[in-house]
Amino acid sequence: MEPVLNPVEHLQRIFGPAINRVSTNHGIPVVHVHTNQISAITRYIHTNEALRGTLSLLWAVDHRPRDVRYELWYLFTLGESKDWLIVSTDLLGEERLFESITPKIHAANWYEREIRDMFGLIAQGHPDLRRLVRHNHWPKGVHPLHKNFPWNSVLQWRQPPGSVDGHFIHGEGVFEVPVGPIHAGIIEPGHFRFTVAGEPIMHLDLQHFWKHRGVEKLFEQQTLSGGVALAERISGDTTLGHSLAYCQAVEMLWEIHVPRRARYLRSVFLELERLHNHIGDVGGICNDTAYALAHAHCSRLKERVMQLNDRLTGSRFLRGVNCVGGVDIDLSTDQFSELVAELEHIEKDFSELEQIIAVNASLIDRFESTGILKKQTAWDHGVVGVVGRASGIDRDLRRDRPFAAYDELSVRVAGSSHGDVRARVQVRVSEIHESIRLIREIQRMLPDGPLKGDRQVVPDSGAWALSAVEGWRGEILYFLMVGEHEQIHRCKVRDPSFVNWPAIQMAVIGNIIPDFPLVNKSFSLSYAGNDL
Amino acid sequence: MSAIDFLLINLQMVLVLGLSPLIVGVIRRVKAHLQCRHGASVFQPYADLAKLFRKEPVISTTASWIFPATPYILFSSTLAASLLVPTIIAPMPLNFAGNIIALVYLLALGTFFLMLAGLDAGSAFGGMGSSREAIVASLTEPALILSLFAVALTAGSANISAIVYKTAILQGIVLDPPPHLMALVALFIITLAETGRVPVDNPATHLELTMIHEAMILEYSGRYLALVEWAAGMKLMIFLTLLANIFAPWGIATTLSPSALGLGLLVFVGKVVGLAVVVGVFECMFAKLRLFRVTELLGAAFILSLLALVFFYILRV
Repeated sequence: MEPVLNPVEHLQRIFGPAINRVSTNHGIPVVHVHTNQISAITRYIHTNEALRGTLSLLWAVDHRPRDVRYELWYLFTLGESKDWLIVSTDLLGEERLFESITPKIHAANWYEREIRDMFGLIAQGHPDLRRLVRHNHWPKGVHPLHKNFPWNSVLQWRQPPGSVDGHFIHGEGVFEVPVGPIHAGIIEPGHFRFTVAGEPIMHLDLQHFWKHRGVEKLFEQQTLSGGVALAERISGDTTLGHSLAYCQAVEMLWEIHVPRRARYLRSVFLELERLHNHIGDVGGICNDTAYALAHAHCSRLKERVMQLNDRLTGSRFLRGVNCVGGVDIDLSTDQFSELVAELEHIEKDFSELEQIIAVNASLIDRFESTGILKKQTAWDHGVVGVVGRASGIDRDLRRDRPFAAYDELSVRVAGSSHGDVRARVQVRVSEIHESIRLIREIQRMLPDGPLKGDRQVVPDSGAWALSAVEGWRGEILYFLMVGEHEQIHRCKVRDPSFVNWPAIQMAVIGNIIPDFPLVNKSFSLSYAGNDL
Repeated sequence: MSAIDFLLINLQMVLVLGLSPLIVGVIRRVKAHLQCRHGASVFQPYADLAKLFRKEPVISTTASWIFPATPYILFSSTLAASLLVPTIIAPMPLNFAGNIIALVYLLALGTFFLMLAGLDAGSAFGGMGSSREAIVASLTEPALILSLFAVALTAGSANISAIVYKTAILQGIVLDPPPHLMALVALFIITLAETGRVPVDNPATHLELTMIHEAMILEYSGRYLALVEWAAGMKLMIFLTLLANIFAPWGIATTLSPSALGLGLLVFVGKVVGLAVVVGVFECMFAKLRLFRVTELLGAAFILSLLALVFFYILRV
């Protein structure tokens, strides 16, 4: 057998007749297959030693009015090369059923439930087809991403049938502890249903999507140029990550060459966003063990970064920085010096705090071996970002699929194999230093030039692009398909939270209830970005 | 009972009621300073209580009579317990009414009802808080009694006023530093546990799942909450007073002269505020223990108390 086969050739060799056609879009191979073969092919990609594909995204597109069909897309990130491979299949006419891949590929679980809720397409053989996005009070038969569903419809309240779903374990001394969606502190809404025997957690069921705002439907009301503001508002703490991912997708469709200076500035702002969030999280994690000292100092340092953001861009959350084609904000040499000088102070203070944290035995005792997410579990769930890297999943888009200026910078990817709270803190701490180092490196390399590129083409209806950004939480993915008159036909948004939330259910098993907030904070996931 | 005794009892009540919110305020202020925050005024807890007393309480529909009755039981039992502990003068006029055991179980009465009330409101967190409080309370109780007994043995009396009085005038008492020190450390740990401070509980948290004391009182509001909070403040003050006056009663008034009483008041306020500062500093130095390791900490307190007792006999021989 010849050693070098590209993945598409590999699949063609094994599944020849099942593959309808193969195409390439912006360098991403797309294998279009028969619906009845989807389970077999995806399973092969997932398990084959040479491919080892992780399911990164699964989404559906309603092609009406162009075409009466639904299309399902499966995006895989292949093991060694971290290359992308898309498998797609059509559901023609009135066909509403497709074979679930969840029994073989765990990461598809929420995606398939989401597709059922939003499109009414049913994954047959899915082990848990409870409603996910649509809560029980939504009327039957409502699927908001159908093209014939008006974006501004007001839904009737339906009396939820029966009691709350989800009694998982029965037995003497087994109790359920429901928590949220309204919490004692000022945090986002989420419903956590613990099954416990005493204090140890036997099972956790998440019920999210309380902040569902219909973001993907709202995108479909926008033109390509109008979506940036919406992308910035998906998850406030990831303003820049989302706007960057969106802008990149539009730039691919318009074939804009983004000038180097703009790409470098995007990297600077992305690292600033990573910085203020990571510093805030390290403090937040300490605070959840009642170690308020570290929290107070981290809040102070986070505030300094955010005020720096404000001075440089006019927005603490970096809104209005990105635009399609480049950036709207330039940094003068003086501003850049101020930035680097301020980061110098912040790093010095933070290093001092790091020392204090490192020698506090009571704190380390809380962190170590709490909320362990095993590497295999992380891989099965397709976990990304900080959480993944802390569990030994060596993935970072800044290195693996460079965007912005990262192709010219060398990013040292942090990692750990322990998968506990301490590992997640350590990964964050390393990334804080790395972000500061990158910004210093950019100061030396920042080229002169224009800030915006011009559009080259008018994309055809049906053209699409897939863009990825390593935000501070992890991989942010945007799939953007254009319709008539540059109207957005479909925009699939994937915040890293959507993949990491289900994994938290695994990480807490066997831990005690009072440690859950600590584990949860160490994951630090977005509700808004997840609920869309 | 003479008029002067009556006056002294009232003075003591006013002192405990009036000073306990200040102690809470001092601890919060110390923590704020150590965290580089300005923090609220030390008098903020008074304003909080005043606000809560004006607010309408909301009671869960599933609650029985236990829920509204508990704040009153807790408040009055704690206040009664405080009358057994000498603050500015020893012996207390009410010292005949009870000894160490009465003190411990008056406090336990309040805790018991609070645990019932936590279950009574029917929320998931109240039950969790009560079950955790039951663990903590059952472990602190023997340690508390033993540590007080260790001191009582040296004074030859289980009456707190007598212990304080004898220690203060250094008469009829054998001062053995080792048992005293061990009992002191044990009582300090118990103080942190019984009053819901770090590293056992976190009075400042908003995370329902980690709470002990706060989870039990999560459903309280309005004047009920005010009474519970005030009682918690008094309990803290009782423990700080025990620490201050059993182990270092010097400065406390032993006669009824105005100058002695005045000095006693000054010294007392200085001591409890000083201890409040220590508690505040402690809270900033440590993270909260994992729930199941609290038992180890309280076990250590128990062993220390036990050793204090054993040493008393060893040193006697």
